[in-house]
Amino acid sequence: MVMVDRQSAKNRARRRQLADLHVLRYVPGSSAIHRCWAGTKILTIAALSIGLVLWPTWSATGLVAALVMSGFLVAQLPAGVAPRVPRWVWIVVLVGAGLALASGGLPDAHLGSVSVGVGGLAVWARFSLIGIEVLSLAALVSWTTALADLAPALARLAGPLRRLRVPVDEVVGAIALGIRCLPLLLEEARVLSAARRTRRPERLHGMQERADALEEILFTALSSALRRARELAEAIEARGGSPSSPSETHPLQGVDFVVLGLAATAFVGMVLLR
Amino acid sequence: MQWRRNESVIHGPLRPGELAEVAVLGDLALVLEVIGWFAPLGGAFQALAIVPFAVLSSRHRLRAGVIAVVSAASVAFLIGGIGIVLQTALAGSVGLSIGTTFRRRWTSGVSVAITLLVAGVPIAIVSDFVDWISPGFRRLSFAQVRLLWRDVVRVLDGLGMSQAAANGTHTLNVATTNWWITIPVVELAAVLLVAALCLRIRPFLLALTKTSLAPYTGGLAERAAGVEGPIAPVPARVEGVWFRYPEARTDALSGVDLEVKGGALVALVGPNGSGKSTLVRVIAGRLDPVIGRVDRPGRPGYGERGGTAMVFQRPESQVLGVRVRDDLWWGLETGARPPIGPLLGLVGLEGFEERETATLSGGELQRLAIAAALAREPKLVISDEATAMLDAEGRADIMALLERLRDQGLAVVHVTHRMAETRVADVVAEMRQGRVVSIGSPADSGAAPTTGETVVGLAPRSAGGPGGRPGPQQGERLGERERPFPLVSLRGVGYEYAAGSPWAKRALQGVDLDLGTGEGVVVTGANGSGKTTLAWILGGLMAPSEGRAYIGGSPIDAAPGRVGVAFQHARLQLLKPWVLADVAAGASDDAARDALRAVALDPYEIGPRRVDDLSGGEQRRVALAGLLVRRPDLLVLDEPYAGLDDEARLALASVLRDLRLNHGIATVVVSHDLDNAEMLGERLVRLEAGSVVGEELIAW
Repeated sequence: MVMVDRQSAKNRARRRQLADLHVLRYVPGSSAIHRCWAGTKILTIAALSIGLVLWPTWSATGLVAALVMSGFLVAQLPAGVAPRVPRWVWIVVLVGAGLALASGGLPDAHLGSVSVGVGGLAVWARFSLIGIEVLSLAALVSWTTALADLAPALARLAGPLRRLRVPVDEVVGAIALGIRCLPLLLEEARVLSAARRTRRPERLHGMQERADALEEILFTALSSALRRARELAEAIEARGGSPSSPSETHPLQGVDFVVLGLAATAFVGMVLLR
Repeated sequence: MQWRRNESVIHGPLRPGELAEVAVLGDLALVLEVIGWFAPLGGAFQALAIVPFAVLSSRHRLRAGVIAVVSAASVAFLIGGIGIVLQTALAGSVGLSIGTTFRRRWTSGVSVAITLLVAGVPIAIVSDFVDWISPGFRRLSFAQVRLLWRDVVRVLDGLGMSQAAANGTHTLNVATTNWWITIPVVELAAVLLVAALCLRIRPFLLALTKTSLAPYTGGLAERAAGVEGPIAPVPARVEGVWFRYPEARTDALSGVDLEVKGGALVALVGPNGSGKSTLVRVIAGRLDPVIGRVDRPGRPGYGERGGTAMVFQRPESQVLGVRVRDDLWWGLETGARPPIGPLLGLVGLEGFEERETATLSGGELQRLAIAAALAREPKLVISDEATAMLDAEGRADIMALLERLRDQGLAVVHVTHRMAETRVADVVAEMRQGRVVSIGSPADSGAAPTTGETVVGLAPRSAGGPGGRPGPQQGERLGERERPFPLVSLRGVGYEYAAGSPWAKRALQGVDLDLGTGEGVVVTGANGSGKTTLAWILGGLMAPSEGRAYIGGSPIDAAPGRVGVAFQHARLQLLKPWVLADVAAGASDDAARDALRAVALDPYEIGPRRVDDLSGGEQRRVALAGLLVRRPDLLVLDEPYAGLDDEARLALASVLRDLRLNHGIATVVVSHDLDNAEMLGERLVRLEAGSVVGEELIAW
């Protein structure tokens, strides 16, 4: 009985994650970050994450961490926005840290008479932190930007590419439609996973069963997605067949220049501190 | 064969069919990647993100594939930053090349070789380049690998395998110092493996092109034919029109005559498959009749200003904008955008312009779709079953709106299978098997008072009492339900979505419900009343946030298999491509045939058919059969009637009654639709804003 309960508790937790999965959800607000032009935010996180990946030093990691944290503070986001982190992530982080600690490495830390090499742990910590920071940057943008503002901002940012005969409007139209349809597809994923539970055992055994399960999920999802695409195609046709080019009307304000200035400074800082 | 021919014709910007698949399949890839973050088979899901791109480029030209990869990668950046962008770009480039080799119909060996060359080599070169310009991340990653290896060495030394450890250390050193060879080799091997695995989806893709899911080539017949001239869709006279879809064995339309003119509302009624939708597509100029003609003063101008507009069945598939405002103006250039206020006022959505479309109800979405159609000032508005998925209130709103458009002088055609909706029409045309069998005013066609909504006589009963006792007319089955313990019991059940987050939404509170063996309950309520949430909890798909939901003494969500849930979108519940294989999964073929018989389908006729070739009603019954082979004690059905015609409804209702009376399976039908409620159960539960507001016995 205890076994059953533990299993079902685990499954419950997994279901909650899918039910409460929030991708690109906006938290309304009026902070400086909310008022900032979407394009400014996109440029900023692009610069910071590229800098972080190219020069993953401790100083860069710290710099970005400070910026992310002040971003969250300025945006005044409620604590509840943080996603529930699946337990296995914690386990991976802890096991990784344990292994890293076990392998030692310079410098040594002294605790009374015991001396432990924490160099490995430091590498692991930096590795994990970079992952978290990249995700947090993206989350900060999606929580503070209305979805509808994203595509027009991308259109303005990519504007210069028009001169190279890149079909910017076409791509932006596809992005806008993609953003619009994402909640529909997520809902289908939720129903599909529930529908599977009504017909298949929840525990899978062996590679073959797992492969079969993946195949079933994939083909059902594809069929359903293609049917959805067909309906969308009819609706698109009924509206003349092609998206209009989005026009960006959001004016650049003082806050945009401040944020862009900070991002540029941080980027230069990362280059210099590498 | 057909796609090849089309491919050579298509140039220039994406066609509607391509754009839709670019957006939807790109999203599917992203969803797979996101699920990979926390699913038990995470890594596998992320690798599967290749498949949507492969599917797309096996069906459409390269332009569509490239735009899909670029736009999905951009959305990925907004979702999860640079890491998921890289994943998407990798999955996209491999999917793009393998899909293209499928489209070109190259052999498996060639497919894999080309993919290796076109996707693998560039990936290897780019990653070498990136590693070369940024030694930082490379060194950090290698430091990580070396640290882990040091642990392994210690274990190996402990086991007395120092030689193996030393060899490993040497190999690792060689590999990391020669990283510019090691990394590309590993990547190429991965691409090779993945490409080989992708070959497995090829039969599935080929089969798809033979079903209704073949690439959508669109119905812009007039534009394809390059017809020019003034737009004037009405008055239109359909004269002796015959139509047959390519590769179909029967005519969709055989000798149809009909007149459509301004200021008149034509209602087209008839069962599913009677040719209604084909006829309206002919009227809209999207299909050219094989024989006969449509006589109009100008060209129909489908989707153009002053031309023909069309609204379809599924509300959420018609909305193309994130915000109401974007949706209304979708496809209109800056100069051609009408003011929003009056348009929204006309359809009763005042003040909605900044709302996100994802937050609208089905009825609101359909009204928005009509408003978007009206933004082009059409002369002819066609509703192709725009009311089929809506609740009574939503249907009434749409009908009132169509009437108003007629009164403003527009020509309106409304396709429906509900006789009640023909009352406001000027002309009612009834169709059967591709013919118009009767035409006249609503009074002639018997559209009078049997509206469907009023067939149920309801006897009031106090709310929240102990488990519903059916009236004495239920006869012998009464005794069973006198047992002290009901089959299912809900006590104080509540549910809150996303509890604790800024998006928290309460859907249910304090629901008490008992259900006996073989009992039938109908749960009803408006949109947003918590019906579907209750269905999920009864089905054990979610555990309640508060309260207890038990079946036979254990929590429902810990008793998989005892409850079957049938979803409105039945396709998502069908897991195999063929009907019999789908139903038989986890059981024998004989059991599957019995289950198909139990849902009134002929196992030998429907068993060998493709799931994707079935109608919506058939898919729903097959899904039900798939649940029945697991021998559940309780079946929960979410909106089982949505989109079904009268005949299919009646068939489904009698199947459910048979399951209750002869198989002892309790049923809960969740629906806003009370047609044939007397066949669906003995008890009606009304929900309002997440609480039970009334329980009534359903009288015969």
